[in-house]
Amino acid sequence: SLSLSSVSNMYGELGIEILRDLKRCEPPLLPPFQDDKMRKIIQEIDGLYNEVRKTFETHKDEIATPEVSGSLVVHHASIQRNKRCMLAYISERMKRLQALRWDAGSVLPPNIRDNVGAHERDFFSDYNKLLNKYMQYVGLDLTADLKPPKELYVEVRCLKEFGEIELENGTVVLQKDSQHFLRRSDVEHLIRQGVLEHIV
Amino acid sequence: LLMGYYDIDDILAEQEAVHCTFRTDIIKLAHLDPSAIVHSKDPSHDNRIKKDSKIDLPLWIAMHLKKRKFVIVDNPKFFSHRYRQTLTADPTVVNLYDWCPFFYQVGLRLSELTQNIAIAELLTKSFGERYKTIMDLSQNSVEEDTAHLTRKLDVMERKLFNAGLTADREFQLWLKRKSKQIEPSHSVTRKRKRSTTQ
Repeated sequence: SLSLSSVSNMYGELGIEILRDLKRCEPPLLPPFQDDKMRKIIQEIDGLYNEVRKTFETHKDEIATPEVSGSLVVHHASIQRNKRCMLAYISERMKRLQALRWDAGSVLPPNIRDNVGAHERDFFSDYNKLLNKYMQYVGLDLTADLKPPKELYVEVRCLKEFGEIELENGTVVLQKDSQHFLRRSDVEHLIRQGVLEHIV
Repeated sequence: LLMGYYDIDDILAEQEAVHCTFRTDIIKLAHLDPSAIVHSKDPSHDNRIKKDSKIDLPLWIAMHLKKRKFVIVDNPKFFSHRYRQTLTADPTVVNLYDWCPFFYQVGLRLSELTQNIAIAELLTKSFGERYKTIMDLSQNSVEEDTAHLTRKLDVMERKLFNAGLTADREFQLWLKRKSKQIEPSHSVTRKRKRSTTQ
């Protein structure tokens, strides 16, 4: 027998639930991956598929009648609907992860790292590798200077204890509230990660 | 109005219910009819939905059944004569979101499904009028709280409004030569905001 979702007697409801959950959380943030609900949707698809097969077997001679074909149409549409919801869910999350690589750099911010699934972590890491490989090939950091730079050096204030960083002409200690005048290309990613603040 | 397989708003729009009348019996669909579940205990019953049953179905099911003429689809009340008159009288004052959050997307599908040109024309006309207001507001509210401005807009219109607002904000920053400032990632600032309020 079919396992109906407990919330409602309609198929495809869980698919809507995961999409609403994702929509409530504005990009680039990600809510926790809905592992459990995804599994339940797959179960629902299995159930629907069995139902379609049973209908074919028990009503072999009446397939063309509206009574039977109408049923097949709805069950098949419900399978397609569930599939679409899941793919849209995965695809939207994938897009947000891609955007994060350009926005926040090669390390996922901690508040997002906890919410991604195992496959998503793999995806992010593979995407990162691919991008790095390409950038090495063209010899340019494509994620730098997303806004056209006006000057080589920028004035920055340190927002948290970060420790020492190695730069081309020596090391700099990034202490909370300390101010520095550093090369833009050296600190841009730290500004994006919220370690430094750009003072204009 | 972009539609796409992966578009979440598109999928949510197709969840809106429309009123369907069945033109035939169909087996194994009793799960669609809350009142029919009771009968399904009967072992001889094949969970059929009876001809002439009237049930609210999500658009995505109704579309499939209507294409094969298994159901008659009635327009939802926000496309009834009275509502249409209200919208025609002054499109800009109507709270479309209250009528249906996905007013245009649902309307577009319905006009196609029921071959109803009147709906298509209504959509074009009211959007044409409302667009001017949306455009005007989005270009003149940079420093304002926009919640009350978007209250009357449907989901698609809100997207449009926000696109206009973002463009205007960026233009203002550029004028003030502020666009050269490197900003922290949105994902970082959000987190920081939350942790300070906690």
